[in-house]
Amino acid sequence: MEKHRLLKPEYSSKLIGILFISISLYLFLLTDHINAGLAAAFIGIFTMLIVHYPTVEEDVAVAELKSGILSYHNILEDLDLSNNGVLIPPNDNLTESRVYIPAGKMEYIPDIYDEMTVVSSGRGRTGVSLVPPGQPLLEEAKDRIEYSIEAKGIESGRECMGHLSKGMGLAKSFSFRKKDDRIRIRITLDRYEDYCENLRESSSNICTRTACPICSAYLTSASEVLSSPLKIKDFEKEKNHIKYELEEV
Amino acid sequence: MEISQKLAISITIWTVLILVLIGGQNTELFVIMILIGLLIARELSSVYIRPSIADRLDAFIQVGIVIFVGVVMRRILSILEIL
Repeated sequence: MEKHRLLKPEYSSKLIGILFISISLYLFLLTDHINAGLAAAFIGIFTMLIVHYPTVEEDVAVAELKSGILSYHNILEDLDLSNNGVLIPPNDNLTESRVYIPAGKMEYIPDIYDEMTVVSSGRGRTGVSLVPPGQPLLEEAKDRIEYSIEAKGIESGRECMGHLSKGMGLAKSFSFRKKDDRIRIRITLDRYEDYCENLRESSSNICTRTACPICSAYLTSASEVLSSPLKIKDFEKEKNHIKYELEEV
Repeated sequence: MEISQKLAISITIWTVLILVLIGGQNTELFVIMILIGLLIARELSSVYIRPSIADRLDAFIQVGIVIFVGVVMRRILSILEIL
């Protein structure tokens, strides 16, 4: 059921703010309760300015997340690319991260450049290089961090993933571990659990290729902080827990 | 409930609590206690809030710091018996 316009937080907060400011004016002008007047004025202004929602509705945001990744899925299906993706961090040839999906058995990673989408560098080095679907989400998280996360190690990765989870509300919790050349990422979904399930019904193998925008943001951040290409080795989903195992290549 | 709503409710509770404890006695102390509440809220919520909300919260803190400097200057002048 749609809420009445005045019941939406962006409007109700303004009404509450105006109410408190009116009370503060009454206290300042007609009584000698200075502190109470200050308190009411402060609460009024704070409520009016802090509670605001310059954002789209949640169902619209979910639909946008889906539409982008379904285009990727259709392109990869048409090209018959079903191998696991490799996340490539920025390097001398690349200004931003890419996800490389090899066409056949990958012998080693070819040189990938910014302007290159279809990679054809000979046997075992053919595939497509795409911008990770989670790149815009990751950029949003990186804007909240006061330093560049590239090659800063696993702790920076955890900080970045913390912004993705708690700051942006993409997941309830996460864990990010590295042992030798194996990396394990576990994401526990909350409000996007239905989105994940619906997406997997229509395109289940997207998880091991580019991953959806939410998981892709986590995987790309792992690749960037470790400054190492990471191949998706294994994927598992159990209830609302998503487990990725990656391998440095 | 969104983080900005939680923030507004927390600051409201803190302000009312300070008002109850201090009452109408000491306005300077009251203002400084509100500033301390804002600083705590900013630090604890830094991971969770959007940059736009963080900027607004910072603006409140900057105003609070200006008031705090004014309070300290007033105290110094009164100790030096200039004021």
